[in-house]
Amino acid sequence: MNQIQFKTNINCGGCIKSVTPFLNALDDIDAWQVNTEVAEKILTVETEVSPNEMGHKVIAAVSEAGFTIQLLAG
Amino acid sequence: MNTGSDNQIVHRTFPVVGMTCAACAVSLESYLGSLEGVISVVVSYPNQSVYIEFNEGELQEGRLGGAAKEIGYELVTNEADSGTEAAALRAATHLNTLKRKLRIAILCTAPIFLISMVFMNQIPHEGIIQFLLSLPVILFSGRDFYTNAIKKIKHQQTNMDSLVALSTATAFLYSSYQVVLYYLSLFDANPTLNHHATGQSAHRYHPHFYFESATVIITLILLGKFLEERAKTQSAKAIHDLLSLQPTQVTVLRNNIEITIPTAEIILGDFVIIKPGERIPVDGKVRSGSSYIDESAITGEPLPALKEKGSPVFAGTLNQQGTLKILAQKIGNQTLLAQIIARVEQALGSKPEIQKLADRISSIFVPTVFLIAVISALFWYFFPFNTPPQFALTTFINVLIIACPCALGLATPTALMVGIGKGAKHGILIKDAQALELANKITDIVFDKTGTLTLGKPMVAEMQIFQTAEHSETQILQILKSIESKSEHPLAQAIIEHIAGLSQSVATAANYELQSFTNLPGKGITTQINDVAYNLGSWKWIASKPNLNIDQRAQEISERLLNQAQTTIALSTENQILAIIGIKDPIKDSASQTLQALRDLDIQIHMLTGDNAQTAKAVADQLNINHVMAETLPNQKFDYIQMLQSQNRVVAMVGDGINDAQALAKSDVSFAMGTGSALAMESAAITLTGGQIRQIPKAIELSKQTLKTIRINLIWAFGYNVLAIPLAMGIFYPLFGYALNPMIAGAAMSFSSISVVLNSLWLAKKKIT
Repeated sequence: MNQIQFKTNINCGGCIKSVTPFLNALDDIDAWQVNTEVAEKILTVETEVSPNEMGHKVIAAVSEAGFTIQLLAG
Repeated sequence: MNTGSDNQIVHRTFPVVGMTCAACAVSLESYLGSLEGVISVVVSYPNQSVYIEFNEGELQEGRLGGAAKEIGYELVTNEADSGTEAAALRAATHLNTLKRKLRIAILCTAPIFLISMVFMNQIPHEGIIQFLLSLPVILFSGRDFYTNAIKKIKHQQTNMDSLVALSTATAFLYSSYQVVLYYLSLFDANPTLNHHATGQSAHRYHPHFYFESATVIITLILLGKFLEERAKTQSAKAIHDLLSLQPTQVTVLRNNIEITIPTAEIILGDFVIIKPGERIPVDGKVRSGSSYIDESAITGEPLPALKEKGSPVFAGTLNQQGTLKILAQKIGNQTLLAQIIARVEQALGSKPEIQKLADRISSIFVPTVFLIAVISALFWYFFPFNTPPQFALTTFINVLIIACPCALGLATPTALMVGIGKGAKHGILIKDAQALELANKITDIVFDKTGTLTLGKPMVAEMQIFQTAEHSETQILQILKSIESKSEHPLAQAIIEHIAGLSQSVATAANYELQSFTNLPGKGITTQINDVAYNLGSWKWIASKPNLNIDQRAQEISERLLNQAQTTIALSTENQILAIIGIKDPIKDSASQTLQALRDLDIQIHMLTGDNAQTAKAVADQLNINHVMAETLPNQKFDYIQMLQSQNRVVAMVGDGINDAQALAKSDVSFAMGTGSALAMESAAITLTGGQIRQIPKAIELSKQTLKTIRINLIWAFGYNVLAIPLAMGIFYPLFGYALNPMIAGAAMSFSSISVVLNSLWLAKKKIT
């Protein structure tokens, strides 16, 4: 199980609904969650595939949904 | 011609509900911007609104609202996402107007009828009272008859509306004229003036009015129209309500947390958690979990299908015992179920009205009567034979008035009402009276297979037990029952029921304890009882076991069952076969006899099924059906009906599933099984209670009887009036000195109405063979 974290501007419940179809469409994601309580609005993705491959897909999907996203190092 | 409007660029600003931060606005902007036909989008978070520039030819306003809803926002547009709600509203308004017209007509006609028929000549100023009461009936309630008649005349056509319009207008205008004459005569000392004006000296102090004749026919025909419209609106509403039969609350995974929300708030791409026994609310695919799903609602096939990761699932189908996480790919009115319902609504809405018998007769009767009136007027004009100067005009009017058959309004509705009541007694529930007028003309009947010709429930057709030294027959049955009791497989129940029917003692005995239980979906079950391993599952899986000894008898039985398209199941130990079971959906007892009865009526039989070709062939061979199509989709059934109709065949469809609904709606006469889905019953004109197809020939016989009754009714309705036409023409004037005696007109009306009602009631007494 690999965990990848991203910094986003997914601010609120409305944003989460907007991004849901894009992230759910990625077949290899086992689970994802956004912590909107923190300033960085951390998106955590769990996957069985390599973090590198998954990272690009997630960034593409979230950008397509109209949000800003960047990979958190480490 | 349309290209101008097809490329209409429009700018619109809509309020948005559901944006809670600025990032929401950006997200909505990018989602709407990606739609085809959208040129530019600006979402304003502070104003909670969106400004869109789009091409109206490529994109409907309602679609924008639908798209926003897919990601959880609501655009406040003026249009609903589909036209069906607007159509339903229009139908309801239409029905309400009709109801108001009918109420006014009844309210005004009742006193007119009493004044003219009961208190004859006893009420002072009865003429002016009747005139005032008639005004709303003619001008408000009956207005459509006149506008329709004018429209028809412009196309040089006439129908029942034309007859009603022509005769009621004449009767009303003539009677109004009589009222005027009556009051003039009160101030007039010279009676001869009036005598000359009407041509009937008796009319001076006792003028004769035909207000009741005009208003009664308008009221009766409005009543018939109202009953017909109400039946249509109710069924349209019932179909629309089926969409809301879906669960009201669903569990979805949002931000990795399970929450319960109303079904309408599911967004595209939601993960929906489906628990045991729940109905699927959306179209989508399985992301995790496995379960059997009863898809009979969509496919018509009774066996639940196994669903695993990646399998497609459809809204309206029923989950059995597993739990699934599914990805919502189509929601709301985009689902297959919603689209089937929309197509059913469309097919029902666009169904051509059959030309009714009364209309056909009127189309000849009206011009003929008019011609007779003109000829007799011309005759008296050129050959007056000492008649008063205006006799020609009076004759013209008299012919038109006497031709108005009040019983016409009763002829069809009373016969249909009695026919429908009679059908109900025989388990034939007729919703659309039009079907009763058409059923006797059927040339082709298209049957669905599963649930229509067959019971729609898998049952054990054959069970062969292989006794061994270690296993008695009772023991083998006991083992089967013990394993199947633990199985979630859809066929398990059929086997348990069959064993219960074979042996009371086995059915009541306690189950063996299963020491292990491994379920291999799609294959079977491996288990241990008293330290012996058993396999129970599909023949293909059992036969592939390496150590299994398959003797010649087992080989023959399994081949025979498979050739008959039966689902073949076996129970075995590591090396010996203990039982082979054939399961199939049995053909209804009455099927063969019913089809023969229909063939005797020169009706072609067809069978369409969503099932595989092999099973379809087995059933068709047994029932002797030549026209068979297997593995059909709902659309293909619809097309098949349309194809037959294009060859001028009158096509009936018999079915039970949601997959049959489109075809049912398209066909000329449709029969649904009372045991089937609600959508099929609402789409069909006739429902057979208990799914008894043997009632179909009876329905056809009933149709014949009803149509015959309508014909005789029409003869009664027109007959007396036709006999009185020569009187109205003035044929007897030179002999007896009068043209039309109003008493004769009144008697003709009453006699024909009574005859029509009695004749309709007589239909109830006739036997259906």
